[in-house]
Amino acid sequence: MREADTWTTDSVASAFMNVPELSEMARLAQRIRDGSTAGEEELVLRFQDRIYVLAEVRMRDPEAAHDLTQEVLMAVIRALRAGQLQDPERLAGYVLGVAHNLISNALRSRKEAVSPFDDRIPSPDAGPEEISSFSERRALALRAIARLGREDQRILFLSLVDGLSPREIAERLGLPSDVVRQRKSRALARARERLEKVSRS
Amino acid sequence: MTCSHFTEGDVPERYVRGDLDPPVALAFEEHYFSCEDCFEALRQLRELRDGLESQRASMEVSPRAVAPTVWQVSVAVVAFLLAAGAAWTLGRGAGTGPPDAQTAFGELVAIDPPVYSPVRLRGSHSDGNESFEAAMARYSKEDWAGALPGLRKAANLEPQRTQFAFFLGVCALMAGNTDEAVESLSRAIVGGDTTYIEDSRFFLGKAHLRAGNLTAARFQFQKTVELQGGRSAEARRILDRLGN
Repeated sequence: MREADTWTTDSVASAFMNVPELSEMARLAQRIRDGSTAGEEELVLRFQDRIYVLAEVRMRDPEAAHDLTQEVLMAVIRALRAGQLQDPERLAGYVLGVAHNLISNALRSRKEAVSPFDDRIPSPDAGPEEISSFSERRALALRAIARLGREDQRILFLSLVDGLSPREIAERLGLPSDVVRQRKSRALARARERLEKVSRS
Repeated sequence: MTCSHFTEGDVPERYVRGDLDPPVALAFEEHYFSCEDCFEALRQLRELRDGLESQRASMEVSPRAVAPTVWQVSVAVVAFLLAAGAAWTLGRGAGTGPPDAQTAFGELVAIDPPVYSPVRLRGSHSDGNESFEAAMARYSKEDWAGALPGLRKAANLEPQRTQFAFFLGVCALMAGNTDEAVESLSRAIVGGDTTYIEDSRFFLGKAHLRAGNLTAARFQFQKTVELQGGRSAEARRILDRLGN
Protein backbone atom coordinates (compact mmCIF):
# COMPACT_ATOMS: atom_id res chain seq x y z
CA MET A 1 0.00 0.00 0.00
CA ARG A 2 1.53 3.28 -1.02
CA GLU A 3 1.20 6.91 0.02
CA ALA A 4 -0.40 9.21 -2.51
CA ASP A 5 2.78 11.13 -3.19
CA THR A 6 5.23 8.23 -3.51
CA TRP A 7 4.90 7.29 -7.15
CA THR A 8 7.14 4.47 -8.23
CA THR A 9 7.55 2.86 -11.61
CA ASP A 10 5.97 -0.29 -10.18
CA SER A 11 2.84 1.45 -8.96
CA VAL A 12 2.25 3.17 -12.27
CA ALA A 13 3.19 0.13 -14.34
CA SER A 14 0.67 -1.93 -12.37
CA ALA A 15 -2.01 0.63 -13.28
CA PHE A 16 -1.21 0.23 -16.95
CA MET A 17 -0.59 -3.48 -17.24
CA ASN A 18 -3.18 -3.74 -20.02
CA VAL A 19 -1.05 -1.64 -22.38
CA PRO A 20 -0.71 -4.06 -25.31
CA GLU A 21 2.88 -3.16 -26.27
CA LEU A 22 4.55 -4.62 -23.17
CA SER A 23 5.37 -8.02 -24.68
CA GLU A 24 6.67 -6.24 -27.76
CA MET A 25 9.00 -4.30 -25.47
CA ALA A 26 10.36 -7.50 -24.01
CA ARG A 27 11.07 -8.86 -27.48
CA LEU A 28 12.83 -5.64 -28.46
CA ALA A 29 15.03 -5.73 -25.36
CA GLN A 30 15.96 -9.33 -26.11
CA ARG A 31 16.84 -8.57 -29.73
CA ILE A 32 19.19 -5.81 -28.68
CA ARG A 33 20.80 -8.05 -26.10
CA ASP A 34 21.34 -10.60 -28.88
CA GLY A 35 23.20 -7.98 -30.93
CA SER A 36 20.49 -6.87 -33.37
CA THR A 37 21.38 -3.57 -35.03
CA ALA A 38 17.87 -3.39 -36.42
CA GLY A 39 16.57 -3.69 -32.87
CA GLU A 40 18.75 -0.79 -31.78
CA GLU A 41 17.42 1.30 -34.64
CA GLU A 42 13.89 0.40 -33.67
CA LEU A 43 14.57 1.45 -30.10
CA VAL A 44 15.84 4.81 -31.29
CA LEU A 45 12.82 5.35 -33.53
CA ARG A 46 10.41 4.31 -30.80
CA PHE A 47 11.81 6.39 -27.96
CA GLN A 48 13.77 9.25 -29.50
CA ASP A 49 10.82 11.65 -29.77
CA ARG A 50 9.45 10.70 -26.37
CA ILE A 51 12.77 11.29 -24.67
CA TYR A 52 13.16 14.62 -26.47
CA VAL A 53 9.70 15.81 -25.42
CA LEU A 54 10.35 14.77 -21.83
CA ALA A 55 13.74 16.47 -21.78
CA GLU A 56 12.47 19.64 -23.43
CA VAL A 57 9.54 19.97 -21.03
CA ARG A 58 11.76 19.33 -18.00
CA MET A 59 14.78 21.38 -19.08
CA ARG A 60 13.13 24.15 -21.13
CA ASP A 61 16.15 24.11 -23.43
CA PRO A 62 15.71 22.51 -26.88
CA GLU A 63 19.42 22.25 -27.58
CA ALA A 64 20.18 20.64 -24.24
CA ALA A 65 17.20 18.34 -24.73
CA HIS A 66 18.56 17.20 -28.10
CA ASP A 67 21.97 16.41 -26.59
CA LEU A 68 20.45 14.65 -23.64
CA THR A 69 18.21 12.53 -25.88
CA GLN A 70 21.24 11.09 -27.58
CA GLU A 71 22.96 10.50 -24.26
CA VAL A 72 19.96 8.61 -22.92
CA LEU A 73 19.68 6.42 -26.02
CA MET A 74 23.35 5.56 -25.86
CA ALA A 75 23.16 4.70 -22.18
CA VAL A 76 20.10 2.50 -22.70
CA ILE A 77 21.56 0.64 -25.67
CA ARG A 78 24.81 -0.02 -23.82
CA ALA A 79 22.89 -1.37 -20.85
CA LEU A 80 20.71 -3.58 -23.04
CA ARG A 81 23.72 -4.97 -24.89
CA ALA A 82 25.27 -5.84 -21.56
CA GLY A 83 22.08 -7.56 -20.41
CA GLN A 84 21.63 -5.16 -17.51
CA LEU A 85 17.85 -4.87 -17.84
CA GLN A 86 16.54 -7.35 -15.27
CA ASP A 87 12.92 -7.26 -16.41
CA PRO A 88 12.63 -6.78 -20.21
CA GLU A 89 8.89 -6.19 -19.86
CA ARG A 90 9.72 -2.89 -18.18
CA LEU A 91 11.81 -1.52 -21.06
CA ALA A 92 9.72 1.66 -21.41
CA GLY A 93 9.96 2.32 -17.68
CA TYR A 94 13.68 1.67 -17.77
CA VAL A 95 14.21 4.16 -20.61
CA LEU A 96 12.15 6.72 -18.71
CA GLY A 97 14.16 6.10 -15.54
CA VAL A 98 17.47 6.60 -17.35
CA ALA A 99 16.09 9.80 -18.91
CA HIS A 100 14.96 11.16 -15.56
CA ASN A 101 18.33 10.38 -13.96
CA LEU A 102 20.31 12.07 -16.70
CA ILE A 103 17.98 15.07 -16.73
CA SER A 104 18.37 15.43 -12.97
CA ASN A 105 22.16 15.22 -13.32
CA ALA A 106 22.16 17.80 -16.10
CA LEU A 107 19.99 20.20 -14.13
CA ARG A 108 22.13 19.78 -11.04
CA SER A 109 25.43 20.23 -12.78
CA ARG A 110 24.09 22.98 -15.07
CA LYS A 111 25.89 21.64 -18.06
CA GLU A 112 25.02 19.20 -20.85
CA ALA A 113 27.21 16.08 -20.94
CA VAL A 114 27.78 14.95 -24.50
CA SER A 115 29.57 11.64 -24.89
CA PRO A 116 31.47 10.72 -28.03
CA PHE A 117 29.43 8.66 -30.45
CA ASP A 118 29.99 4.97 -30.85
CA ASP A 119 29.81 4.45 -34.59
CA ARG A 120 27.86 1.22 -34.06
CA ILE A 121 24.97 3.07 -32.47
CA PRO A 122 22.39 4.53 -34.84
CA SER A 123 22.91 8.26 -34.81
CA PRO A 124 19.83 10.33 -34.10
CA ASP A 125 21.53 13.56 -35.25
CA ALA A 126 19.21 15.97 -36.97
CA GLY A 127 20.04 15.46 -40.64
CA PRO A 128 18.41 17.20 -43.55
CA GLU A 129 15.47 14.80 -43.37
CA GLU A 130 14.74 15.69 -39.76
CA ILE A 131 15.09 19.43 -40.30
CA SER A 132 12.78 19.21 -43.30
CA SER A 133 10.35 17.14 -41.24
CA PHE A 134 10.33 19.78 -38.48
CA SER A 135 9.60 22.55 -41.00
CA GLU A 136 6.87 20.47 -42.58
CA ARG A 137 5.20 19.79 -39.25
CA ARG A 138 5.38 23.48 -38.37
CA ALA A 139 3.71 24.32 -41.69
CA LEU A 140 1.00 21.73 -41.04
CA ALA A 141 0.34 23.13 -37.58
CA LEU A 142 0.00 26.63 -39.04
CA ARG A 143 -2.48 25.36 -41.61
CA ALA A 144 -4.52 23.75 -38.85
CA ILE A 145 -4.50 26.95 -36.79
CA ALA A 146 -5.36 29.14 -39.77
CA ARG A 147 -8.69 27.32 -40.15
CA LEU A 148 -9.82 28.58 -36.74
CA GLY A 149 -11.62 31.86 -36.17
CA ARG A 150 -9.52 34.80 -35.01
CA GLU A 151 -10.87 34.82 -31.49
CA ASP A 152 -10.44 31.05 -31.15
CA GLN A 153 -6.82 31.45 -32.23
CA ARG A 154 -6.36 34.09 -29.52
CA ILE A 155 -7.98 31.86 -26.92
CA LEU A 156 -5.65 29.00 -27.81
CA PHE A 157 -2.65 31.31 -27.91
CA LEU A 158 -3.37 32.76 -24.48
CA SER A 159 -3.89 29.26 -23.10
CA LEU A 160 -1.17 27.18 -24.75
CA VAL A 161 1.53 29.81 -25.16
CA ASP A 162 0.97 32.31 -22.35
CA GLY A 163 -0.44 29.72 -19.96
CA LEU A 164 -3.41 31.82 -18.87
CA SER A 165 -6.31 30.15 -17.10
CA PRO A 166 -9.81 30.33 -18.66
CA ARG A 167 -10.73 32.93 -16.03
CA GLU A 168 -7.79 35.13 -16.99
CA ILE A 169 -8.52 34.73 -20.69
CA ALA A 170 -12.14 35.65 -20.04
CA GLU A 171 -11.06 38.86 -18.28
CA ARG A 172 -8.66 39.71 -21.07
CA LEU A 173 -11.16 39.16 -23.87
CA GLY A 174 -14.27 40.32 -22.08
CA LEU A 175 -16.03 36.96 -22.28
CA PRO A 176 -17.69 34.74 -19.65
CA SER A 177 -15.37 32.06 -18.24
CA ASP A 178 -17.59 29.16 -19.23
CA VAL A 179 -17.73 30.44 -22.81
CA VAL A 180 -13.95 30.56 -22.91
CA ARG A 181 -13.72 26.99 -21.60
CA GLN A 182 -16.14 25.69 -24.21
CA ARG A 183 -14.59 27.57 -27.09
CA LYS A 184 -11.12 26.55 -26.09
CA SER A 185 -12.10 22.90 -25.85
CA ARG A 186 -13.81 22.96 -29.26
CA ALA A 187 -11.05 24.96 -30.93
CA LEU A 188 -8.38 22.61 -29.62
CA ALA A 189 -10.30 19.54 -30.77
CA ARG A 190 -10.82 21.07 -34.24
CA ALA A 191 -7.17 22.10 -34.54
CA ARG A 192 -5.96 18.64 -33.54
CA GLU A 193 -8.38 16.95 -35.89
CA ARG A 194 -7.27 19.24 -38.72
CA LEU A 195 -3.61 18.63 -37.92
CA GLU A 196 -4.15 14.88 -37.96
CA LYS A 197 -5.94 15.12 -41.33
CA VAL A 198 -3.32 17.28 -43.04
CA SER A 199 -0.55 15.13 -41.56
CA ARG A 200 -2.06 12.01 -43.14
CA SER A 201 -2.56 13.68 -46.49
CA MET B 1 -7.80 8.95 -29.77
CA THR B 2 -8.83 5.72 -28.10
CA CYS B 3 -6.88 5.88 -24.81
CA SER B 4 -9.09 6.72 -21.85
CA HIS B 5 -6.34 7.62 -19.39
CA PHE B 6 -5.57 11.22 -18.48
CA THR B 7 -8.62 12.62 -20.25
CA GLU B 8 -9.68 14.80 -17.29
CA GLY B 9 -8.21 18.06 -16.11
CA ASP B 10 -6.32 19.05 -19.27
CA VAL B 11 -3.34 16.98 -18.18
CA PRO B 12 -1.42 17.05 -21.52
CA GLU B 13 -1.89 20.80 -21.85
CA ARG B 14 -0.74 21.53 -18.34
CA TYR B 15 2.15 19.14 -18.81
CA VAL B 16 3.33 21.08 -21.86
CA ARG B 17 3.12 24.31 -19.85
CA GLY B 18 4.99 22.72 -16.98
CA ASP B 19 2.38 23.39 -14.30
CA LEU B 20 1.25 19.87 -13.48
CA ASP B 21 1.51 18.60 -9.96
CA PRO B 22 4.85 16.69 -9.97
CA PRO B 23 3.45 13.20 -9.23
CA VAL B 24 0.88 13.62 -11.99
CA ALA B 25 3.58 14.79 -14.42
CA LEU B 26 5.60 11.69 -13.59
CA ALA B 27 2.57 9.44 -14.04
CA PHE B 28 1.79 11.04 -17.38
CA GLU B 29 5.39 10.60 -18.56
CA GLU B 30 5.34 6.93 -17.60
CA HIS B 31 2.11 6.56 -19.55
CA TYR B 32 3.05 8.32 -22.77
CA PHE B 33 6.29 6.35 -22.96
CA SER B 34 4.07 3.34 -23.67
CA CYS B 35 0.91 4.80 -25.21
CA GLU B 36 0.94 5.80 -28.89
CA ASP B 37 -2.37 7.67 -28.70
CA CYS B 38 -1.36 9.86 -25.80
CA PHE B 39 2.08 10.58 -27.18
CA GLU B 40 0.61 11.59 -30.54
CA ALA B 41 -1.88 13.87 -28.78
CA LEU B 42 0.97 15.40 -26.80
CA ARG B 43 3.02 15.91 -29.93
CA GLN B 44 0.09 17.60 -31.70
CA LEU B 45 -0.40 19.91 -28.74
CA ARG B 46 3.25 20.95 -28.78
CA GLU B 47 3.15 21.56 -32.52
CA LEU B 48 0.05 23.71 -32.20
CA ARG B 49 1.64 25.63 -29.36
CA ASP B 50 4.83 26.19 -31.38
CA GLY B 51 2.76 27.27 -34.37
CA LEU B 52 0.80 29.76 -32.27
CA GLU B 53 4.00 31.07 -30.70
CA SER B 54 5.41 31.76 -34.17
CA GLN B 55 2.34 33.91 -34.85
CA ARG B 56 2.72 35.98 -31.69
CA ALA B 57 3.07 39.28 -33.51
CA SER B 58 -0.28 38.85 -35.21
CA MET B 59 -2.20 37.79 -32.11
CA GLU B 60 -2.64 41.37 -30.83
CA VAL B 61 -2.93 40.37 -27.20
CA SER B 62 -1.61 42.63 -24.43
CA PRO B 63 0.80 41.31 -21.74
CA ARG B 64 -0.87 39.48 -18.90
CA ALA B 65 -1.35 41.23 -15.55
CA VAL B 66 -2.96 39.74 -12.46
CA ALA B 67 -3.65 42.29 -9.70
CA PRO B 68 -3.16 41.40 -6.03
CA THR B 69 -5.14 43.13 -3.29
CA VAL B 70 -4.62 46.86 -2.85
CA TRP B 71 -3.13 46.66 0.64
CA GLN B 72 -0.62 44.04 -0.46
CA VAL B 73 0.59 46.28 -3.25
CA SER B 74 0.81 49.29 -0.93
CA VAL B 75 2.95 47.51 1.66
CA ALA B 76 5.19 45.89 -0.89
CA VAL B 77 5.59 49.02 -3.01
CA VAL B 78 6.81 51.00 0.03
CA ALA B 79 9.39 48.32 0.78
CA PHE B 80 10.37 48.16 -2.90
CA LEU B 81 10.85 51.90 -3.23
CA LEU B 82 12.77 52.22 0.03
CA ALA B 83 15.04 49.36 -0.98
CA ALA B 84 15.65 51.00 -4.36
CA GLY B 85 16.52 54.30 -2.68
CA ALA B 86 13.62 56.11 -4.32
CA ALA B 87 12.51 59.56 -3.08
CA TRP B 88 8.80 58.79 -3.15
CA THR B 89 6.97 57.58 -0.01
CA LEU B 90 3.35 57.06 0.65
CA GLY B 91 3.35 60.20 2.79
CA ARG B 92 4.19 62.33 -0.25
CA GLY B 93 2.24 60.23 -2.59
CA ALA B 94 -1.21 61.73 -2.85
CA GLY B 95 -1.74 62.16 -6.55
CA THR B 96 1.99 62.21 -7.19
CA GLY B 97 2.96 58.62 -6.42
CA PRO B 98 4.72 56.35 -8.88
CA PRO B 99 1.95 54.54 -10.77
CA ASP B 100 4.47 52.73 -12.97
CA ALA B 101 6.15 51.22 -9.91
CA GLN B 102 2.80 50.12 -8.51
CA THR B 103 1.82 48.42 -11.77
CA ALA B 104 5.22 46.78 -12.16
CA PHE B 105 5.25 45.57 -8.58
CA GLY B 106 1.70 44.35 -8.91
CA GLU B 107 2.87 42.09 -11.70
CA LEU B 108 5.78 40.85 -9.59
CA VAL B 109 3.62 39.78 -6.65
CA ALA B 110 0.86 38.29 -8.81
CA ILE B 111 0.26 34.62 -8.06
CA ASP B 112 -0.80 31.92 -10.50
CA PRO B 113 -1.58 28.98 -8.22
CA PRO B 114 -0.49 25.54 -9.46
CA VAL B 115 -3.35 23.45 -10.74
CA TYR B 116 -4.04 20.26 -8.86
CA SER B 117 -5.24 17.02 -10.42
CA PRO B 118 -6.20 14.26 -8.03
CA VAL B 119 -4.24 11.10 -8.62
CA ARG B 120 -6.39 8.01 -8.25
CA LEU B 121 -4.10 5.34 -6.86
CA ARG B 122 -4.67 1.93 -5.49
CA GLY B 123 -3.29 2.63 -2.04
CA SER B 124 -4.06 3.43 1.55
CA HIS B 125 -6.58 6.12 2.46
CA SER B 126 -5.28 7.91 5.50
CA ASP B 127 -7.25 10.53 7.42
CA GLY B 128 -4.76 13.05 6.14
CA ASN B 129 -5.35 12.00 2.52
CA GLU B 130 -9.11 12.24 2.88
CA SER B 131 -8.93 15.69 4.39
CA PHE B 132 -6.42 16.78 1.77
CA GLU B 133 -8.45 15.55 -1.21
CA ALA B 134 -11.65 17.14 0.10
CA ALA B 135 -9.85 20.44 0.61
CA MET B 136 -8.22 20.28 -2.81
CA ALA B 137 -11.64 19.90 -4.42
CA ARG B 138 -12.38 23.35 -3.03
CA TYR B 139 -8.92 24.58 -4.03
CA SER B 140 -9.63 23.52 -7.62
CA LYS B 141 -12.71 25.76 -7.56
CA GLU B 142 -10.53 28.63 -6.26
CA ASP B 143 -12.37 28.54 -2.93
CA TRP B 144 -9.21 29.38 -0.99
CA ALA B 145 -10.91 30.20 2.32
CA GLY B 146 -12.99 27.05 2.05
CA ALA B 147 -9.95 24.86 1.37
CA LEU B 148 -7.82 26.15 4.22
CA PRO B 149 -9.39 24.28 7.18
CA GLY B 150 -9.07 20.91 5.44
CA LEU B 151 -5.50 21.58 4.38
CA ARG B 152 -4.55 22.65 7.91
CA LYS B 153 -6.09 19.47 9.28
CA ALA B 154 -4.24 17.31 6.73
CA ALA B 155 -0.94 19.03 7.47
CA ASN B 156 -1.45 18.59 11.22
CA LEU B 157 -2.31 14.91 10.84
CA GLU B 158 0.68 14.18 8.60
CA PRO B 159 3.29 16.90 9.11
CA GLN B 160 5.92 14.95 7.15
CA ARG B 161 3.94 15.22 3.90
CA THR B 162 5.56 17.97 1.83
CA GLN B 163 2.64 17.93 -0.62
CA PHE B 164 0.26 18.92 2.17
CA ALA B 165 2.56 21.67 3.43
CA PHE B 166 3.09 22.98 -0.09
CA PHE B 167 -0.56 23.30 -1.04
CA LEU B 168 -1.46 24.70 2.37
CA GLY B 169 1.17 27.37 1.79
CA VAL B 170 -0.11 28.21 -1.69
CA CYS B 171 -3.71 28.27 -0.53
CA ALA B 172 -2.84 30.54 2.41
CA LEU B 173 -1.04 32.84 -0.02
CA MET B 174 -4.10 33.02 -2.25
CA ALA B 175 -6.30 33.71 0.77
CA GLY B 176 -4.05 36.59 1.83
CA ASN B 177 -2.59 34.81 4.92
CA THR B 178 1.00 35.68 4.15
CA ASP B 179 2.47 34.65 7.51
CA GLU B 180 0.84 31.23 7.33
CA ALA B 181 2.01 30.88 3.72
CA VAL B 182 5.61 31.64 4.69
CA GLU B 183 5.52 29.15 7.56
CA SER B 184 3.96 26.36 5.53
CA LEU B 185 6.09 26.78 2.42
CA SER B 186 9.19 26.90 4.62
CA ARG B 187 8.14 23.56 6.10
CA ALA B 188 7.74 22.15 2.61
CA ILE B 189 11.32 23.21 1.82
CA VAL B 190 12.67 21.69 5.03
CA GLY B 191 11.22 18.40 3.74
CA GLY B 192 14.30 18.24 1.51
CA ASP B 193 14.89 17.65 -2.18
CA THR B 194 11.34 16.53 -3.02
CA THR B 195 9.38 17.13 -6.16
CA TYR B 196 7.93 20.25 -4.51
CA ILE B 197 11.22 21.92 -3.67
CA GLU B 198 11.34 24.22 -6.67
CA ASP B 199 7.73 25.36 -6.52
CA SER B 200 7.99 25.77 -2.73
CA ARG B 201 10.98 28.10 -3.07
CA PHE B 202 9.33 30.03 -5.87
CA PHE B 203 6.05 30.62 -4.05
CA LEU B 204 7.88 31.36 -0.82
CA GLY B 205 9.67 34.07 -2.76
CA LYS B 206 6.28 35.44 -3.82
CA ALA B 207 5.07 35.30 -0.20
CA HIS B 208 8.10 37.28 0.97
CA LEU B 209 7.48 39.83 -1.80
CA ARG B 210 3.92 40.31 -0.59
CA ALA B 211 5.15 40.71 2.95
CA GLY B 212 7.60 43.35 1.77
CA ASN B 213 10.64 41.28 2.74
CA LEU B 214 12.74 41.79 -0.37
CA THR B 215 15.94 40.27 0.99
CA ALA B 216 14.21 37.00 1.82
CA ALA B 217 12.37 37.10 -1.51
CA ARG B 218 15.61 37.55 -3.45
CA PHE B 219 17.14 34.61 -1.58
CA GLN B 220 14.30 32.26 -2.51
CA PHE B 221 14.21 33.32 -6.16
CA GLN B 222 17.98 32.87 -6.39
CA LYS B 223 17.61 29.36 -4.96
CA THR B 224 14.89 28.71 -7.53
CA VAL B 225 17.19 29.82 -10.35
CA GLU B 226 19.91 27.49 -9.07
CA LEU B 227 17.54 24.52 -9.25
CA GLN B 228 17.38 25.05 -13.04
CA GLY B 229 13.88 23.74 -13.38
CA GLY B 230 10.69 25.02 -14.97
CA ARG B 231 10.49 28.08 -12.66
CA SER B 232 14.07 29.12 -13.23
CA ALA B 233 13.45 31.57 -16.08
CA GLU B 234 10.58 33.29 -14.30
CA ALA B 235 12.56 33.57 -11.07
CA ARG B 236 15.45 35.10 -13.02
CA ARG B 237 13.10 37.68 -14.58
CA ILE B 238 11.80 38.62 -11.13
CA LEU B 239 15.33 38.98 -9.78
CA ASP B 240 16.25 41.20 -12.73
CA ARG B 241 13.26 43.42 -12.04
CA LEU B 242 14.14 43.61 -8.39
CA GLY B 243 17.50 44.86 -9.45
CA ASN B 244 19.53 41.79 -8.61
